Amino acid sequence: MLGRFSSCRLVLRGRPLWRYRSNETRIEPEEWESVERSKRRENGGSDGVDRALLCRIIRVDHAGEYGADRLYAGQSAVLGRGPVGPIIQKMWDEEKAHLQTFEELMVRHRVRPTALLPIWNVAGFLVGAGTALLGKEGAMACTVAVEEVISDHYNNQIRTLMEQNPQHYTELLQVLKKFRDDEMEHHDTGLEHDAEQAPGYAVLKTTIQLGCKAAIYLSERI
Amino acid sequence: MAALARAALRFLSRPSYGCVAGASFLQSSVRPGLARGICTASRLFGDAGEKSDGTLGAHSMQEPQLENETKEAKHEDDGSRKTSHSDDLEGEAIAGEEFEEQTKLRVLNRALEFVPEYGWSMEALAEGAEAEGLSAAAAGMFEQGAVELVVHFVRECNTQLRKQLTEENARLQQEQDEQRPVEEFLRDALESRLRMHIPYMDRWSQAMGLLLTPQALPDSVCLLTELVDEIWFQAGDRSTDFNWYTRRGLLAAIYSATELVMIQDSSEDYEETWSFLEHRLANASLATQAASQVKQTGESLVQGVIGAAITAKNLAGFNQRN
Repeated sequence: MLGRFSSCRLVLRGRPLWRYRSNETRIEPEEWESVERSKRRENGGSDGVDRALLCRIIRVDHAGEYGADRLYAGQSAVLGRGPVGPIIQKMWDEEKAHLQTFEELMVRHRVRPTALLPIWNVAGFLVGAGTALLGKEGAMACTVAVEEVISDHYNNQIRTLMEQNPQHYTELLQVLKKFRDDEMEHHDTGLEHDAEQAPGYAVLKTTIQLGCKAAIYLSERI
Repeated sequence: MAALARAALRFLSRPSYGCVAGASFLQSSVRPGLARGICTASRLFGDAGEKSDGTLGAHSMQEPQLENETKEAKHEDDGSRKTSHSDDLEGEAIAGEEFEEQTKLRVLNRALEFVPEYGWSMEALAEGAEAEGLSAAAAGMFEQGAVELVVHFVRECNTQLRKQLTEENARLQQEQDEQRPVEEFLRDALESRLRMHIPYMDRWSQAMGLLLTPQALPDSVCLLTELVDEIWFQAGDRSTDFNWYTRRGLLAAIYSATELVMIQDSSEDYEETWSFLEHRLANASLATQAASQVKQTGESLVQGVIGAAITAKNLAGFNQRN
């Protein structure tokens, strides 16, 4: 009996009955929120911005720049007074600017930072200092490895945002594109300064890149 | 058959055991829409009486999501209707969901008035539904029952606190008054938030228990983190490092402890609770000061270790210039 009724509809004068409230006046169409706004709400937030995605991007990028800052700090601590000191310092200053941008974005969008920051603090410094102890080539190899992973990561994020809806993320896309170009420049600088002559370059590069990818995966979620 | 269906529905629509049973029976079945349909239909038939329209016929359920039947009905009524009303239908479906949400909100808000008498329970929801002019069976649309009522109340309190703090900060900025010290701000924010529980104080322990049930736990944890994040943000915290977590964790712990104290506080205007709150905040600020001192010491130690490493490297000859 119920099966038959479930395919029926209550209709009165061409309008579905649920539009009428008993004991009260009819709800006029103007009282309802516009369909666009409710559709936007379904997409997860006002203005069509996917808040979960935005938070994830800002959180992981902030963690990445924080780690890079600590990496260059470690390298500078060992090689800062050597011939490559000024080059490392220049790259370090650019990473600091990146970090500041992401901190501003984080505060503006009320995004929480990753809980693993203390770990990246220590790990970044140790990796930077450790590779720098292998010499100038080691430090440059580390830079090349990290910047390659970071550039790929930024490219992936840019692609994701473009697939979603570029109009809603214009500012973030601009930031990501500029930072990706900066990181590629660091990558090329590292190659120019004999990164490939580091001891065990292939192993070193692979290990560091694996570590970076794991860090990215964890920072997105935790 | 149609008359039988109509009679059956009229029986079910009486605000009695029948309707609640019918709705709850359907809730356990596969299609939740059916339960909604029964509730809405029972409400309509209970109050509006019979609708003598040809298109009603044997129809006694309605599903806003089913588009074919609307098309048929509309073709019956108005043959000149254009076919681009699939957008219309989608709009109607979304509008239907919004109507349900608004109805839920109305019932929840009204049910809060009955909490002191009936506690945080389905009875309060049923009373709220009846007070809103719906049948008591409309309370069946809350699948999680009393838990939804508590979660709604906590969410409303948080929203109210957010408005209050935003207005206060806007006023301070306009009058260019000095920013209050953080501890005082936190104390006032927590006090105003906890005072919102006072009308329901007799039943608040029940509410706290409901918030700890497994079905409410994700929501209640979320609400607590939103609350402490909001309070700290309004207090001026803009930290982007691990302090973000330590501060919010501290405040959440203080809030929970003070809430527990408040439940069994019998002093005049909860004086003991507020003094407990002040003491905990004072302890917390001492702890953060100590923590920052430890951090400074740690940094100096690290500098020392680096210096030692460089010295060792120099002594071993790795820093020779040729």
